[in-house]
Amino acid sequence: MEITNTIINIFTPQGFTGFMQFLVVILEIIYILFAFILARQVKLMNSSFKTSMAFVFSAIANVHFWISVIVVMLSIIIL
Amino acid sequence: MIATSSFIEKPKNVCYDGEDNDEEILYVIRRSSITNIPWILLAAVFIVLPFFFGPFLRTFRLDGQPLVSLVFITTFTIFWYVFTFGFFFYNFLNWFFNVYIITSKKIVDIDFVGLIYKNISEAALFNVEDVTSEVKGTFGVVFNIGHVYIQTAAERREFEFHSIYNPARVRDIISDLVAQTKKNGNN
Repeated sequence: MEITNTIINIFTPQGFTGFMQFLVVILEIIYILFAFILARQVKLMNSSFKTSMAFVFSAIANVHFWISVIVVMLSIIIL
Repeated sequence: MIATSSFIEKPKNVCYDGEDNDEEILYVIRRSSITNIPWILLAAVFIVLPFFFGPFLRTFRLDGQPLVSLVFITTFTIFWYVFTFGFFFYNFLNWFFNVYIITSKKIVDIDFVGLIYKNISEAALFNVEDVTSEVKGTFGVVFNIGHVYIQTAAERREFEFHSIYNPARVRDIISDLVAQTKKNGNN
């Protein structure tokens, strides 16, 4: 009965928005995994082929990861 | 030459994993910069998309109320731009770190495919037997982009340099280096 009510609520503006917000948060959590793997891969790339831009790439990858985390936290709080 | 060029002669402050102490990196070669245009254009589309998609979503209404709230659209747009930046950065790294290196002793091919695959192949110049360059198709002929195939006597029979600018010049460079190495070896 509760599941039926939940499904019916999806077709209301509030329910649909809530469902979409839930999907977006899931997407963002998956994206954090990608950002984390990317940061690790940059470290591996820099060790395999060292250039003068290694620090820049590492910094960008790490900042990108933490921004992803902040965006997810903001989404959970706001939405 | 700037560090992000697709052909760098005698690069400074560059070394690779497995480089010998008495080895000098002579050339660093990447795929031609023009091959990056498709994903750059796609990233540009991603940047522009929220300006159309957001207002479009707001037109959907149910019982007179917008189906998608403004807060949701704003939050999703922020995430979309983070994703777009990640897409751009990933593709740039893919181009930057997939390199072909010609040193005073070896040819090195460093491949990163996706996020979980790394392959480094080396072949001594002395083992190179044949070098072939190829330019085909309208795109290749117009922009002088093609491939170089290097046949070796090593375990890995053939190295391939894909979509590089001016492959004939690279072929010539490798051939000259191989001839010089074999001549020095014979002496």
